[in-house]
Amino acid sequence: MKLFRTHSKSMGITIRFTFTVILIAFLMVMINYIFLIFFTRYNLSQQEPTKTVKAIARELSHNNGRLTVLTEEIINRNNLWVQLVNPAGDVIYNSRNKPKDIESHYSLSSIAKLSKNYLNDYPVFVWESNKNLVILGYPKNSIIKYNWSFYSESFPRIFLWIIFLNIIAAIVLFIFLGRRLTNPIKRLIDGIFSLKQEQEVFLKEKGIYKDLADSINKTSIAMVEKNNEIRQRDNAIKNWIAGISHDVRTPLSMILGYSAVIEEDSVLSEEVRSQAKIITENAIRLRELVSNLNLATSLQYDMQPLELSIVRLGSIAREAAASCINSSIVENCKIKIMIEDENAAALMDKKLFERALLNLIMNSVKHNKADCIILVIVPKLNNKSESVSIIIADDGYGISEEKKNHLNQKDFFKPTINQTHGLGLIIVKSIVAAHHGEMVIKSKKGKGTAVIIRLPKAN
Amino acid sequence: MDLVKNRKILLVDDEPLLLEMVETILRKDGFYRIATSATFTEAMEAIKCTMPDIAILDVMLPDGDGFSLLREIKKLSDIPVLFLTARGEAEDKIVGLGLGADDYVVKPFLPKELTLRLNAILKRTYSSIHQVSLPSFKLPNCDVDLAKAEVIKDGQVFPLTAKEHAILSILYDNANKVVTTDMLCQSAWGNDSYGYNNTLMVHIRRIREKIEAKPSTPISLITVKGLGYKLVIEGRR
Repeated sequence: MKLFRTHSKSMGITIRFTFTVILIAFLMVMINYIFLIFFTRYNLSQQEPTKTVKAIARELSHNNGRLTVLTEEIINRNNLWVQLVNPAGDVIYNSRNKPKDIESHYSLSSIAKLSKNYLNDYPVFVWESNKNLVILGYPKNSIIKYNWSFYSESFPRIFLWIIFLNIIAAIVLFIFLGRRLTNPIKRLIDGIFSLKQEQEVFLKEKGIYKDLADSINKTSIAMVEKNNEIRQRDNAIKNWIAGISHDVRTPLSMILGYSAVIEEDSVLSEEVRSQAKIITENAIRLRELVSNLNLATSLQYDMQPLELSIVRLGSIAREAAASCINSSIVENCKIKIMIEDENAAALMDKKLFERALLNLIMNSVKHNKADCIILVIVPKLNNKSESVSIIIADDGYGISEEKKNHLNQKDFFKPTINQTHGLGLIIVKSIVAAHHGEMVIKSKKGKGTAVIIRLPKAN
Repeated sequence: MDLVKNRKILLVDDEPLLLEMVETILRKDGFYRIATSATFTEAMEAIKCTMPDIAILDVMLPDGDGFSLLREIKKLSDIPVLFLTARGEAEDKIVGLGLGADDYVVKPFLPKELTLRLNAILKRTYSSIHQVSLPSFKLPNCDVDLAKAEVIKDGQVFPLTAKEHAILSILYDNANKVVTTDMLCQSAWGNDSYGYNNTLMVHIRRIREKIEAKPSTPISLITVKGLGYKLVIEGRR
């Protein structure tokens, strides 16, 4: 699935790239066409002879069929020549430097020919002057005369055909030649997408994208090294904590075992037995700490297998409240339960989640005065809501704004592990996170505290 | 004469001091036929020689692990096995893989935690069928016999229906503790649905009619508001 998405993404980029290349090629062709048409139709070199022949025709008609000396001079200097032909086809005036191979009489057909083409290879231009015809001749090979003619209706259609054929040609060329252009890019794109998914990448460093491929390869190597480092560090932490908790357990077993034996030994004095009891109690506290530390770490590093099932929040709330009452933890406090939505359910590891709730209830008991009221609420949420929630609230002392913000931080281990809190809240946060839920603490000094846990809804 | 205390116990742990301590704890509890071994091979010897009735095994041994020792033991005899484990991850193996261990205790443990489980396993394994039959108990206003599924109040016998029996049994198992309505529904109907709540109330009322002097002001089967019910039995914890 992931692979497919990457593939289609790089396909998309390749197609856009292809399209751009085709567009550029097409625009280039169009610009060239426009220039060609412009030059051939409105070229200055063609405009100049027309202007000249017009001026000469005007001068001849004003000057009674003769050129002025000045004009004659200019014509001579430029190797041009002029003839004036009357309606009968006879030449009635020749400029001085008229080439020898030019006739002195023109038939109708030769006039028609020379007006469009050349006269004995001389490019010539004609104009009308008082019913006579002026012929202006240029030296051989000085001007190329080129005639365009289209059927006036078919011209736009031909133009469209040319565009169309150009596009086809561009696409065909691109399919056969474009691979050379897009293949390296496709490889680079695939490489970057693999990097994004933290996969190792190695690209061949050649071609125009050599530097880019090199950068991607180096990034990949750096990423793999970093990941290895992180993995090693994680492993070290895991082993360290597992080791510590193991090494602590055996001596703790001895302390706990013997202190309990002493505590129950009726031969010993009351004093010794009560001292042993203190040792036992503290050993039990240590035991809790070790097991909490272990649980928090294994949750953090996804080592804790979750036994997930769909559980109604009302049910787990009652279960938690009942075990609090049964283990007489809440002797001094009143625990009340409000289930507004009996159907609210979530996918959870029942044992773990109950532990989270117990921790929260115990926190409320520990940090508040006797006869404080602890509420366990499963609120009724909007049907459209994607989550369900459970709230543990008390009417106790509350916590300061600063401490609250500190506890609400995302990082589990940021809230300081201190004597009063122990690992309780960290455990709760880790458990909630393992259930893809979120936990928010709301509190006002003197007004009590509420811990809101939201979990993804299960149907 | 408590027959359970006559049973032969084999203790296996690589830590000699811990071995000594566990032995002390067991002796205090009244057991006296205790064999100890510190290694896998020693343990196998001991099993062949002394034929213990139960084995208490550590998971970590210098020449092998407790799980393979368990497998070897099971090849020789069908004695119950209790694990002592220091590793959290081993718990999953014991429970999850169904290796045939009967129970486990996580180190560090209170002596009581060990002896309670040990005694429970021995009773379960070696007691005759009559002894494990369902209990009967006394309430202020009546006698309840779960084996016969009947209540005797003022010399009159009231039979219990199957559902009433199931509800009363789980309340008795958790005597003096709050049992949530969810747990009661689960045990009586095997269904996690709050829909049975009203039906449960009906059954509770019928049970009260049988066991209470004044069903409207119950003293044995008490409602814990919002949570569930509690069966109060004097002198039991």
